[in-house]
Amino acid sequence: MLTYNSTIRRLVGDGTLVPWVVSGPRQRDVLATEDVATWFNRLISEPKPAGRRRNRLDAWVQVDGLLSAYVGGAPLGLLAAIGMQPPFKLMRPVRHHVWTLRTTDTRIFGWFVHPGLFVAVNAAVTDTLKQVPNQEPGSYQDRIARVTRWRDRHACSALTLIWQGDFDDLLGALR
Amino acid sequence: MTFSGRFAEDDLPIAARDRLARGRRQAAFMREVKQPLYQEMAAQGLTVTKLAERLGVTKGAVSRALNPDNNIEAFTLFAMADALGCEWQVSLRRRENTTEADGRGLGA
Repeated sequence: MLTYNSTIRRLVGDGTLVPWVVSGPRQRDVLATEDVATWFNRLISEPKPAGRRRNRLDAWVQVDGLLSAYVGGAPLGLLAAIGMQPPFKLMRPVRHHVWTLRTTDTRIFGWFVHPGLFVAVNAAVTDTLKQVPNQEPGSYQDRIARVTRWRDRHACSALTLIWQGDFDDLLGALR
Repeated sequence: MTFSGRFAEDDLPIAARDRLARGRRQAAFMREVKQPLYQEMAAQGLTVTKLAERLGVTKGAVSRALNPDNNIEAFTLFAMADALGCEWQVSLRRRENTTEADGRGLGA
């Protein structure tokens, strides 16, 4: 059983954050805001877009697989080892310490409390995200700002992992 | 599996739960097919770029094929294994608790 510090425990206890549950033992944790949990459940319920992405797993399956792999303790360094894009990315500007969990069609924005605990604050399918740094609602910058605001509002800023190493080091810590 | 509490899978509509279950089987199959390729590439110290060179295709084509979320063609699976000096061992077995509804989506 993984344990949380008092702030995270309170946020889980009052339902502000909900854990991702797996059938087997949890080696790591993803805690999500209501926004993310609602987004995911809506994704499952939405019909698959006709004629699109027939050669790809559905978006909710992508998310399900990634979160379950992380929480279940699967080694996450294999893709990076063969030169594929890793599933986590530290967003720029890096001073915010906001990360995305990435699948082909989705982005989940949040932060690491430590390498074994990711807090997911907001999420989107990539079609709805704009990469222009103009602070428009829906842009990456807006999504990053939402994470930092949420952290501040819930007294979590001091619980943010400040990752000094590169991504390979983080993968090492995730093993 | 999914989120806990009032977001739990048990509270989803039956159709959504069925889709999730089938999607998970699909994802598990993709993992079973691609994981051995990742492992063999890592064991041989091969990157996507080097495998692409061996296959005579672009790095992007190999990345797309190996992306865990993407479909991969049978010919590509064969070619990748061949380029790695490997061969596939393929088997098919009946799933336990298969229902008519489970089979309906085949080929979808």
